[in-house]
Amino acid sequence: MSIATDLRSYLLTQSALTTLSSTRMFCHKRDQGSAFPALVLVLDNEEHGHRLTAASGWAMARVTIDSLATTYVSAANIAEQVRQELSGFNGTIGTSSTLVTSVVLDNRAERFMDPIDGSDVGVFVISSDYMVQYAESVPTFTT
Amino acid sequence: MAFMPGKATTIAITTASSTTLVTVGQVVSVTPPQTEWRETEVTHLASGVVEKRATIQEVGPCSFVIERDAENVTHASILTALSTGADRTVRITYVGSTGLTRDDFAGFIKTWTPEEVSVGDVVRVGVTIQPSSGVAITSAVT
Repeated sequence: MSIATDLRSYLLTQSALTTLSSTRMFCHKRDQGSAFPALVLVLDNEEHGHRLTAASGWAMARVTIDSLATTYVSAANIAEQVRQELSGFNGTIGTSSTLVTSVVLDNRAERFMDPIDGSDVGVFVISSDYMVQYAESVPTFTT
Repeated sequence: MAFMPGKATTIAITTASSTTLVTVGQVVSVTPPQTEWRETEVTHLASGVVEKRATIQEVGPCSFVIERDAENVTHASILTALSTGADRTVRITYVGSTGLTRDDFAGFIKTWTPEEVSVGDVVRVGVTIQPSSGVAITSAVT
């Protein structure tokens, strides 16, 4: 499991968000042919704390959440609802009960993906970068 | 192994109530004490070069950074030592190429310097120990 899947599990339980996007929340890539609007969560990078003797047990991940919709208003509404659910959050999430200690909305950008069929029906994308600090288990070794 | 890795280096300090060395928990980095000779110039009229002689050794501070845990008893012990200024015995233990090596000295907790606390990071504190004795550097302790 990764923090992206845990965030997805958490977001799937937020009714205000699923009202807008249903359960179309994907990790890494959107299923081909799936409907809009949708969310795609991507773990961009992850830093892990270390001490002299072992891992610290904390990690800091940058997770990009793309809000995709065929209208700008829909994409903006979903991105805003994701912010309402995540920005400043701390708590336990996901099937592995991951302890999230902080979530910070670090950056947001908008773009339009042109259609590949020559039509005028493209996809509006609002990308929000969240910095997520969470606790992880400290590895133990047998040699 | 022909080098000394930083990993597994420990710093241990005695407590107020015991002479037993207790390893400090959650240490991120250690800067061992630096030793240098002070010098005096003894150049005279017949000198071909500037001449200097060693006078007395000076031992600089030892510092380390911890990820602070208010429930960690070794961190609490450091705060106790800070409040009294009393000397403690300190030992830095390295993993050496032929066995353990270590630095032993006595000193007092001179500074307790919390780093900036920010959202998304953990709380770290820098601790400085000023040696009040020379440093005994022992190699290849097994």
